[in-house]
Amino acid sequence: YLLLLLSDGNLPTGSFVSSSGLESYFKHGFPALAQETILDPGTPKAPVGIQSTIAFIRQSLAAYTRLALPFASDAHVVTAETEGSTEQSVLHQLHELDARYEAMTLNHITRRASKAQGVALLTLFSKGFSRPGWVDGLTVEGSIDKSLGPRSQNQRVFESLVDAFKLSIRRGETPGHLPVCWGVLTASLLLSKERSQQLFLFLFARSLLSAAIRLNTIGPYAAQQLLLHVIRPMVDEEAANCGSLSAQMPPSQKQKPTHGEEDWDRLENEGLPATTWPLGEILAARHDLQHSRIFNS
Amino acid sequence: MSTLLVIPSRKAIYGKGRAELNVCGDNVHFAELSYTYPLKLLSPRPTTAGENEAAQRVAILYSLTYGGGLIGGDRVELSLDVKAQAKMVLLTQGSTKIFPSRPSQRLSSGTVEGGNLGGVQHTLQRMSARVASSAFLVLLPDPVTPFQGASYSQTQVFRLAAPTDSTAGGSLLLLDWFTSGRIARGEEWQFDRYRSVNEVWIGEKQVACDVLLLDQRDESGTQVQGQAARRHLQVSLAPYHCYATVIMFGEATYGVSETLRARYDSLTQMQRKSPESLIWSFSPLENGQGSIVRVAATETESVRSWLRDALRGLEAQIGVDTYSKAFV
Repeated sequence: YLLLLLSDGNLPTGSFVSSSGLESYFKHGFPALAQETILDPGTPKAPVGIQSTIAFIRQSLAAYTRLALPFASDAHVVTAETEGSTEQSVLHQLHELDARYEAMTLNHITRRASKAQGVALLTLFSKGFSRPGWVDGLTVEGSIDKSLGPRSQNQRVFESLVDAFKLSIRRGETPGHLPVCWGVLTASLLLSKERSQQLFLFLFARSLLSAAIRLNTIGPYAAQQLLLHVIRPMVDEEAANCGSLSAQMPPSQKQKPTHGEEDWDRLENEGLPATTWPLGEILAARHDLQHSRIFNS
Repeated sequence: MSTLLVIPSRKAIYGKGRAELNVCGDNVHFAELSYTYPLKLLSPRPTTAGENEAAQRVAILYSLTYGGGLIGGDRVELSLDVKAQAKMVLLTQGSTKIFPSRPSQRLSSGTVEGGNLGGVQHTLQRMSARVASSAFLVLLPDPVTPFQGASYSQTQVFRLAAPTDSTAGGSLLLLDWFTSGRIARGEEWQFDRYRSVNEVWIGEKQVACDVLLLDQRDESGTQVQGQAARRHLQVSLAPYHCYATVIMFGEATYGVSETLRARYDSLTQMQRKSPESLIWSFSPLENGQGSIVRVAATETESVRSWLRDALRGLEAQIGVDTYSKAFV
């Protein structure tokens, strides 16, 4: 039921203002390059709008997964451990993840969109998913879901953490990026890490398709076809590739490395979050240069 | 199509270099300048006569590799220390070519210098740099050119002194760029792997960690009626053959940064039918303390002349003569 709620297009997350670089990709003329390999000359070729939308989603999804998913995963793990730890300690780790994601996302447009959506997710938890006091006073035929409360100790711990994290964002102590907030949100809702990862990627792909429809590069029916037949294997593949990656946080920076002795092993680690599509980076960063645009990023 | 690639015939090797630059009155001198094969460090005497005051105390350091290239399995480490008020400009003499590992290395590879991915050996470069207060480190190398089958990893960590109430912090301008291969031979994004990490610290704070990973990710090729299938990177990086990143932080870079920001803000992008031949982006970082510029173009020479023009503000910091030696 939770998955259905989180996938609902009406969920107030503010993601509809972001095309994640798709609008810029089209504005800069890149669809002219999109080609799909034709496996069998007899099969019909996809129209250009669909081809180029798929090409963009493929690159963008792979790149976003490689950079952001490790942070969402780590934030999930850290948040899920809140009960076994102190709120201070969890907050500190979240701040470190957040700062690291900021340092790895060197693009003012992406940062802006990520922060806006991040804090929207936390607000969603506090205002949209918390159990209001008046629920217990309702007399409704059937049942109120007792399994979620009333305001169990469990939920109070998460509510307190989310409030504290949101406060630190509002104070400017931490940026509050989307992947970190996603991890916090889904762990607080007791969603498993695997489900959280799959949903993270699915929602990203879906918001791209949604943007494509509004940009009129594909029609709504074609978008549904893509979502069912093309996007699913992409999401599964990326989740499989990057699901076990972690953000590779450096150990506590208490000791300064002596000159020349940097943490080479960690920095050269194959699994370090990375940018894999530099062209996408440039196009995303150029979003605001567009003379006319309907999206915010 | 692939053409013969002659890989230098020597064993993979581990080379180290270190340079420490100090100020002494109006001049700079290297307190240390050491290197081992295949790395070589050279510092010509700069011409500072006629330059303004800011362009004094500048040293040029050429970082060279014997044979102009590195082979799979090579490992090179460079350590730079720019002391207070000194300015170091790091240049190369020609693009650094990255060859794949020699076939015999791949067959006999057991434990590894430089990393091992199923027989293919990485070429590994590391740089660690420290920049003291009011000092300036400028990296303007030629681009890296990884050849077909090459696997390259470069990691650079920069630690800048943080500004205080009484002192300016350290400044850094770093250029990191690469090309698609031997373009004249039609070699277009045929390397196996290219990885570049640039990490910048200002005091205790990590302000940037740019990790670029380009992996060929080959699935079994699909033939399209006789044509060779386009490889993953050929598709994702098209139509450009050269990508560059410039990251800058610190007072000494404010002039360059501001010029670029103004230029960028004046651009307007209209609907295009096809991509332009050169494209660039600018993002401010750390509330204006730094910025990042990314450029891509179909021709390496276009990127080179764009950079030469875009970074000309450096002349005020390092001198016209020194600047003229970059981007030749």
